[in-house]
Amino acid sequence: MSPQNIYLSPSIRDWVVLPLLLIMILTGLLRTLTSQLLRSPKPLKDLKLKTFLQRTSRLRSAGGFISRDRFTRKKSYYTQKNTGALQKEGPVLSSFSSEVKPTGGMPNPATAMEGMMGNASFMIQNMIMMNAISHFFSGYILVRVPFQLTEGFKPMFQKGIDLPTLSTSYVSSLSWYFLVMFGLRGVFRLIVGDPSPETLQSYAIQQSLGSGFANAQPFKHEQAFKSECEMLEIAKYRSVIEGSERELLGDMYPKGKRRGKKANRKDDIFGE
Amino acid sequence: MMNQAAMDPMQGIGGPPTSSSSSTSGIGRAIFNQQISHKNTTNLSDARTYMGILLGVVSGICGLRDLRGFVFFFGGHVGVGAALMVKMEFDVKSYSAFQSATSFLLSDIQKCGMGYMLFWTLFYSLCYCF
Repeated sequence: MSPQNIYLSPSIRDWVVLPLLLIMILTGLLRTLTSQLLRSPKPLKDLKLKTFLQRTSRLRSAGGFISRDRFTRKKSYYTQKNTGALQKEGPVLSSFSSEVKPTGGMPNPATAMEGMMGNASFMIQNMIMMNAISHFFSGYILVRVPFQLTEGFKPMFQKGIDLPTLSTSYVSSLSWYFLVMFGLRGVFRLIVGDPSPETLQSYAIQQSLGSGFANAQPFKHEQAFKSECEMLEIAKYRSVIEGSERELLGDMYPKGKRRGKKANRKDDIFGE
Repeated sequence: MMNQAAMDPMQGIGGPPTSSSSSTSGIGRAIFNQQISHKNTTNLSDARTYMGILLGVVSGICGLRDLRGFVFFFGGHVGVGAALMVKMEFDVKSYSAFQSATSFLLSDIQKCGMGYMLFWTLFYSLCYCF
């Protein structure tokens, strides 16, 4: 069966196809930029305390890269009784305690709802657009998809067009809407571009410290500092170059000190 | 793209620089830089998205239909991935989060495929239906 070749009116291209594409691009950009503008700022003081804790956890995990003496001095700076930076009476907590107001352990509902509102606005906008497009642009073909679809897709992709003999590759406005909606996801990223390095860093910090619903819970700084202090106190120093001579020499590393007449002094590369 | 492997500071002293696959393995320790990694991932994704759109435009203008269009997209996507691998000197693990060449070549295929279909449909209709 030869494929159908139907030529559509150029007015459909000029007044429906291209404007719909433009509208979808602009609404997507509007949604993205609006969500960026309306994003509520995270409390700075909590972030400062959390990044301070990140420094101490880095000392615990990567302390082997510095000398033993330095590690000990840094550890002492953080954990020294009564004056250490992680202590309750220390300089960090005492300076922040007056600024961080206790919320009584109640979660912040505004922060928790933020993510849900974003998704809800996207869904609502989609539903409105779908209904508007199927209402205003129904009853005619918009585009032809360059591949054959099965007859089962006919009611969905040719909504408003009652032509049983029409090929399924000719579709109506609603399917064009779906095609544009899914196809523009990658395009938006190219249009909007990368966020600035400062924004990326703030996203990274917020992600590492927990985002969305997790931020609804207030940050219990005293408890966190206390547990971090205890973990740092029991942390042991282990240099990263420990065992490096064994790794370098491999099989040539002497197995043990040999004594007695059978010892072959030529094997002992370290002398006696 | 930058290689973040921190090499031995003693390398090259007293002789020609040795390759990283020498018998004294353990020299050099890879350091993960999140900013660079994110930038690499973004660049890879953007390159693939651009090529997906371009492939869609080309196939729409050429009038490719049905299976030929899909094969054209698949071949183009893999070709773009291969070109990116040549740029990375086939060291996929160092420059991206993928562990194998196959997963790298087939990554982002859905996102790029949707963009390809949009522009394929649009330009096919513009050239052959209006």
